[in-house]
Amino acid sequence: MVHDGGMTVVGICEDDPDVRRVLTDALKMGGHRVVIARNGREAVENLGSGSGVEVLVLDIGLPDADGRDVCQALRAGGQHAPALFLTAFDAVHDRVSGFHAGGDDYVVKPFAIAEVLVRIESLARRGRPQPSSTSGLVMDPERLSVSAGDREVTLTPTEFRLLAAIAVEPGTVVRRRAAVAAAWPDGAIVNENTIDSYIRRLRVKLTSIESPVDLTTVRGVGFTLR
Amino acid sequence: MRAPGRTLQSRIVWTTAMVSAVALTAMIGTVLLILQALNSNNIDRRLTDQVSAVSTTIDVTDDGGVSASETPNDSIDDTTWIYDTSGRLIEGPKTGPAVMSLVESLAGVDRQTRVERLERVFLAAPVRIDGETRAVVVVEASLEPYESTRRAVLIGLVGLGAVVTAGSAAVAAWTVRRTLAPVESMASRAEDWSEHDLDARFDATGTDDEFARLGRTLNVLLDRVAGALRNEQQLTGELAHELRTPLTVIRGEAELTRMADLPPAADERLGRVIDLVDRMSATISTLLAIARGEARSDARTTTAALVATAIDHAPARAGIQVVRADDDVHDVPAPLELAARALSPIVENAVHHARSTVTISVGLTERTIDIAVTDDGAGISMADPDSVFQSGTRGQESTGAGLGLALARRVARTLGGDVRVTSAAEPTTFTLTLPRF
Repeated sequence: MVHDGGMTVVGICEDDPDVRRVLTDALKMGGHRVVIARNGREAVENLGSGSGVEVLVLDIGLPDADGRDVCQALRAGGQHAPALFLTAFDAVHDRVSGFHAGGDDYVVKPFAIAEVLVRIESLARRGRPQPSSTSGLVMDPERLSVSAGDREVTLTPTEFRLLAAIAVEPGTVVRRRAAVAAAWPDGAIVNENTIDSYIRRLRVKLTSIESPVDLTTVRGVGFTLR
Repeated sequence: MRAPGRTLQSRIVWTTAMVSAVALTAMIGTVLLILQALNSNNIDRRLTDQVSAVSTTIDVTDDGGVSASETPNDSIDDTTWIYDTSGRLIEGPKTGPAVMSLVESLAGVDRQTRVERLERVFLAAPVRIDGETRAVVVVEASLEPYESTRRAVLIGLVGLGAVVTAGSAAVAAWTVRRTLAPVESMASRAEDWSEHDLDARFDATGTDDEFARLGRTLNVLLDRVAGALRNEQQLTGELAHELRTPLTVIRGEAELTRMADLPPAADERLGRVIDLVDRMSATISTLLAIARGEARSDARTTTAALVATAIDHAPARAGIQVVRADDDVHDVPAPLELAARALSPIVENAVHHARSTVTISVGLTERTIDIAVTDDGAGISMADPDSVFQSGTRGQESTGAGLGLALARRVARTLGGDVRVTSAAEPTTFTLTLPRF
């Protein structure tokens, strides 16, 4: 990864062509390289772990998916580049939910180009620790599905976010509180039995696609994929 | 107990007490009438018996006069007068002149006569011997013992009535409170849910009593409230997206263009474009904050933080200084971000019109916090200073859309306060009023 004034590969997922052009031009003027995605599906295809993208810039309001779900899907697929959310929503719960979905920073539209550039370069310098392994699961934020090999199963939005949060780094235990924050709206009070019920349903669905990893409950702590 | 009519509970309790009091009053009246009739019968029977007994003691003497032998009962003698046909008292006690005068007036009756006077009942009857009237017997009975009994009964019944009425009211209050407790609980839960939990609903399954029906009705209302709020939030989100995205592009294009080497005049124009975009963005944020109901949050701030924020956001203008008149810190029961959206446009307006100084001072009344923003500018030239709060009203040199003060007032009113012109000129003062509690 090249930083400290050097070129950074920035993956932009933004549906509005004008905003995309402005961001692209600004980044290129700043000496960076840009990989474009126009929607959630293209983001999963173009900005994943093998894309070389070092910083993700994700619009939350995409036409085919929520940018936060896209981020979780990328994380679950092994993409751990720092993510900056662009959002037209500035309420506290909107900002908080972006962080719970794996985001590292956010800016509210209309933003100052200079500020966005500084934030992107700051994220590029900081980087993120790369996980030691990947789950082998592919999550599709547009179809809200998870697949292993050629088998696919659809999930509810909450199941998708819960599984994506746990699948970020197989072998690492995700605490119940973190799982709830990632899967449910900010401030939601979720019963323990409700989480366990979702986990049971996810196990059944993972079994149905012959998942290479098992969803395991670590008693009193949280959940992990092994 | 609350005043009648204020709540259903108090109305029911008062109605119960009133009905109980009326019923008991009618009952007491009936009892007293019956008692009076019984007493009257007893007295009449007693006096009739007394007249009969006394009549048997009267004899015709040899000279054609009448005489009366003594009765075995002294009490009869004390209340009996016997007159001959000429009106002469043959036998009888001497009593007060009023009684004697009345008795004597009855001495000449030719048929049985009853008179109730002087707290006594008098009965006069002619005595016939051998078919000829020989004497007149007058007897009397005091009503005092009967009156005493009647008074005692009356006091007892009134006391009993008061106790029964109070008891009825107390039982009604307890019953109504107990009965309506679920209703109060449901009302407060519905109110709380409508503000904090749009998905919560009453469990109205299993039974079909009044509470279950009320629960189902409230559930329908909560569904409508939730639907309306979600529609509003969705509209708010769409509005934010639709307005902010083009603003992002306008701002970005202007910024990118400025990064190239531009003539100073063009650079200045693009700078103004960026300023205007920022102001429009701030306006959108304010409208969204109002639409989201941020005024209903429990967040609080202080006058110091609020004034400091407004000063920080005040536009820089050469030769104009913004100063605080005092350092007092008072609690403000409103979110800082929203309260600042009420104060900042006022400060901005003052900076725009001031000659040298804008002064911000904080005052307290019993119920309000008053933040006065004073400038030493030319003042408001309009005949009605309040018209500056109308949307679209702008000064001659203003570059804005004339929404700043209108929005400031709207935000202040959303927070339960207001913005007013408290001095139109020399100096010009706008006062933001916010509730203290």
